[in-house]
Amino acid sequence: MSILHLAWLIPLFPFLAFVAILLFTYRDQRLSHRLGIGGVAISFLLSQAVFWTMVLLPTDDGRYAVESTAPHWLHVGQEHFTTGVYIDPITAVMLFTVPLISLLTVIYSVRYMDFSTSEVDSHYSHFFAYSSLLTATMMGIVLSNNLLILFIFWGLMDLCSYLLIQLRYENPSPTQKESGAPSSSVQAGLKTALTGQAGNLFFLLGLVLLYTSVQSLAYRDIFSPETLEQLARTPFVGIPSLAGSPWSIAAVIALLFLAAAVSKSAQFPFYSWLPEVIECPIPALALLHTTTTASAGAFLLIRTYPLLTAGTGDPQMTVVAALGAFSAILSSIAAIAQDDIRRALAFSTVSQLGYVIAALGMGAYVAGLFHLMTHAFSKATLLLSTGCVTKIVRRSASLNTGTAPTRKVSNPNRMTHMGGLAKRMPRTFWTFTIGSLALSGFPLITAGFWSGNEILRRAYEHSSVIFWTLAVAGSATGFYAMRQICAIFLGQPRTQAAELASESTPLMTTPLLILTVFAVGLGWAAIPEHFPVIGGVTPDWLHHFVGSPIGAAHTGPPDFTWQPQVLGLAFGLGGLLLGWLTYGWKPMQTGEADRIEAGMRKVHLSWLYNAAREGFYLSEVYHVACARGLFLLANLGNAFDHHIVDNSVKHATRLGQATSRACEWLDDHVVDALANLTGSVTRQLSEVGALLDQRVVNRPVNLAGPAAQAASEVSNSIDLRILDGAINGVGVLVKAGSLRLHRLQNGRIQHYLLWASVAALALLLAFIFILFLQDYVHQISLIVWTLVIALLIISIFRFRKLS
Amino acid sequence: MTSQQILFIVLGALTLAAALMMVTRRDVRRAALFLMFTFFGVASLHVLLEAPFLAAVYLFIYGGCTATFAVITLRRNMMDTPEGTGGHNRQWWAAALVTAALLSTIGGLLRWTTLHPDWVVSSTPTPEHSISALLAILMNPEGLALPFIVSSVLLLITLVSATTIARTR
Amino acid sequence: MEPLLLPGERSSTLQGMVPLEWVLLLAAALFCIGLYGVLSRRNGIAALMGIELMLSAVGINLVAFWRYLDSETMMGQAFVLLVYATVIAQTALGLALIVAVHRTRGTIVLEDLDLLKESPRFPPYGED
Repeated sequence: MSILHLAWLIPLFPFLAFVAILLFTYRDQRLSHRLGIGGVAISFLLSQAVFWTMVLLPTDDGRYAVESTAPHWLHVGQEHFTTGVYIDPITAVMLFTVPLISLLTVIYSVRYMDFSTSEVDSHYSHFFAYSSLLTATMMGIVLSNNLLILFIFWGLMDLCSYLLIQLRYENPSPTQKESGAPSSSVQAGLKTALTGQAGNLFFLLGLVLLYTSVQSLAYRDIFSPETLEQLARTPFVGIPSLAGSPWSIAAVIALLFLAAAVSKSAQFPFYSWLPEVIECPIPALALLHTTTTASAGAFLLIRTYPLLTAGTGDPQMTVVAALGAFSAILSSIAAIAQDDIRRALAFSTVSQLGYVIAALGMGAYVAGLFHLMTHAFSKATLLLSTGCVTKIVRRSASLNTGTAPTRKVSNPNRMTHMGGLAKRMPRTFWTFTIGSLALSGFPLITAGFWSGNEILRRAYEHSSVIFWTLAVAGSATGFYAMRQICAIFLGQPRTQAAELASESTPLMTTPLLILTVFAVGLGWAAIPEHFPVIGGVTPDWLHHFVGSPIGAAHTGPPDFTWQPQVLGLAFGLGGLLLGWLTYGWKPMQTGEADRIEAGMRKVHLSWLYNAAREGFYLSEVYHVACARGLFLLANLGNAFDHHIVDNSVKHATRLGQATSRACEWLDDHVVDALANLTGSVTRQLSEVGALLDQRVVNRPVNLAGPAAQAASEVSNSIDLRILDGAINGVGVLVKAGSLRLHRLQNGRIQHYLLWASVAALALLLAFIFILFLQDYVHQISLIVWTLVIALLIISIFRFRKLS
Repeated sequence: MTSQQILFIVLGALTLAAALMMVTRRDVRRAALFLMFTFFGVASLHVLLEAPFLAAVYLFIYGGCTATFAVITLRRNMMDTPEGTGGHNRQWWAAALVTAALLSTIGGLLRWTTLHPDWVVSSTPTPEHSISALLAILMNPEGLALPFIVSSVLLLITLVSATTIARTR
Repeated sequence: MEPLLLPGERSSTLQGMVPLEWVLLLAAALFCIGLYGVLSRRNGIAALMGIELMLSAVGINLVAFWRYLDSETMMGQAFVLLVYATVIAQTALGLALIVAVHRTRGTIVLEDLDLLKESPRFPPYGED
């Protein structure tokens, strides 16, 4: 059994670490971080073993996959679901990247969260628990062999990101309006979770559609050529068709998965959650941006790529490419206008993931995966260096004021509060610079160049609109990257906090250095063979390894053409140069407003600048459309109820009142007259009767009187002596008995229940007796009578005293 | 003693132990925890009796809904009265007596009587497509469709009454 | 004296299955434990939990009888589902009552809730 069959252990260890920390060791911080790092480290070692095993397997054409399943995992009715692990080259590449970055981040966060100092974060242990769980869920997503398991881990990842984002939930937000409102980290977490839920809805719809068409959710079944063929041929009824040909089911499913990926990877309509995550600890932010939440979305698209390209794949791939390119350029423009470094990096992630998605939409499947990897490394470098910087700035701010660092003192993320840190934090400066250059694709030495270049080349062949969009986005990337470098590190310190800064500890900077090495060196894994001078020295290993996607036509690496390379270089370097000219030539001074902002204000375009800074008001749009819309509906309903329903009830009652008044009049005038007439007639008759009675009846009655009197006296004495005595006796008995019995009625329900149970038991025993024990009548009746008499005696003596 | 019987004994013992712990805990929250354990035990017994779907439904309803409901209503001011609200009341010995008597009666009945001769205990296997068969019975007008609808109405009425009883005026 | 019929080797021990009487005994034991809980716990919520136990025991009984006597159809299980509906209704109402009682009386100790008690008036209807 090769190591590949043990791959399911990879997510297990971080998950165990999560459980252990949360249940048992959260009070002991050293043990917690050891468990956390240990879990991720074991996962890392296992992943490396799996990766190298996959690399060294003999191959042809790169179309192989290893699967190990646990059949009959879940029975629902007559269907069986299986679960298992699926390892193909894509998985292997992700297994190389994700645990490595997670491990380095977790090691970094020991010092970032101030372990063993007086300011140690109160949520230290929980941070490690949640990071372990996040790593475990991402590994689960990467390794799963069917979409159902992937969805389960997807949902778990939602939970994890929420937990990490609101880690410091008790910190007040700087702009809190009422004391009862949740802190801004909780609000950000809620926004993330809700956006995730919207994506989950689309994911579920896609799963349902897929399952009803294919009766299975395992990759082995979905991605077989016959299934894809059939999915591409069957039209999806219900939505209007595009340019004459209807949407195929494969297209609709792919678009639903695109919507899910968009919400997780923060692309165009759903990107507003990522810039709001400001109060999250930086290592968690690094994990979220690079290896987990954001790249899970892209990974889903890569996994379901055969669905995207099923059939001719034209309409849905255009949608994907357009969405990716649009997000890329929109967010790179937004990143230029940000003051808060974390918001800028968030928009940068959105933009780079837009590149990845656009690449997928153009059929550049390997290039997309490659760019995802290089982005992961360069963004991780950037984020962790930013963490170093903000931590140092915050600490020196507190040294300055002599108070404990709170967030209210100043927002240490704002770039206008930094500056001149290059001399003070050299290692951080170099890692940040290299990371930024990798991000913006500085030619030849950085990995970002090779991956971005690949995408641009494909775009050039595919569609000129997308090519120009991505090229402009590339130059914007260079511009904001250089802006960040200059604002943070060059020039003179702009606040006293920045002036007192010093370098971070090696525990934080060493992971940074390792990440930088990868950000630079990874590019050499995929230099295309036709590149002049350098190409062909090392084989285009990534292309050969990952090969072509399952089910799509095998396209070799394209030939080298001049135009996209030169244009891409021009745009990228041009962006960097513009940035340097604007911000680095003469670095900004203390209190100076951002130069672009000032410039745009002069040409009356400051509204545009503000829109970019606020992420183009996307969350405000959602607020107005959804929240206000719902309130409007509710108010309409309320008004309807108030005016229409209540008024009709009021009118109905008035009608009833009028009717009753009419009846009253009727009663008064008609019925009473009749009654009075009857009364007078009766009176006359009775007078006649009285006369009769007086004269005729009285005589004999008077004779009977005395005789009756005598008889009644006799019976009176009988009654008094005998009858009354008996009745009184009964009364006394009843009173005494009821007083004693009354004590039973103490109003306590359990007491009543007890007596009820006793009665039920007695009934049961009586039934048993009647049914089965006829022969033992004498013995049983003896026992029963003894018990009854004993109870009577006991009760008489116990309840002698009347209450 | 087959393995199935041993398994039954073990699971049954665990369930009964959890139930006993539940009724003897002073702290109501501990008792609730043991109640959850009992639910798990009973669910596993359902699985042993070859009704896995019912076991899942059982866990949903008793474990999930009841526990959730109880957690919502178990507020702190309800639980922490000065003299405590746990433990047993004054008639616990009588309750124990009655309960033991009832158990012995039923036990004796089971041990020393036979089932009705028309009740032939069989070991035929359960239906193949169990859930669709279940639904077929529940929806069949000649089956349990009417009780099904009536129980829906019951739940509706209960919902309304419960909210009316418990609402703050 | 006619001897009682002993169960003897019954068909319920076919293929080593658990005998039906064991399951019924277990359900009865659970029922009695629940009854003890209802009768002897001070806290109203603990009494409700005892009721839950009793209802679980009923469920086990039903499923056992279904399995041993009628396992060809699913009628037994469908019936149990209806019983669950009743259980949920009872639980909901019980907890609502607890909440209401706590609000008006301030206590959920069952011994202190004696509203059913009629205060004794002696003599009940005027002097003799």
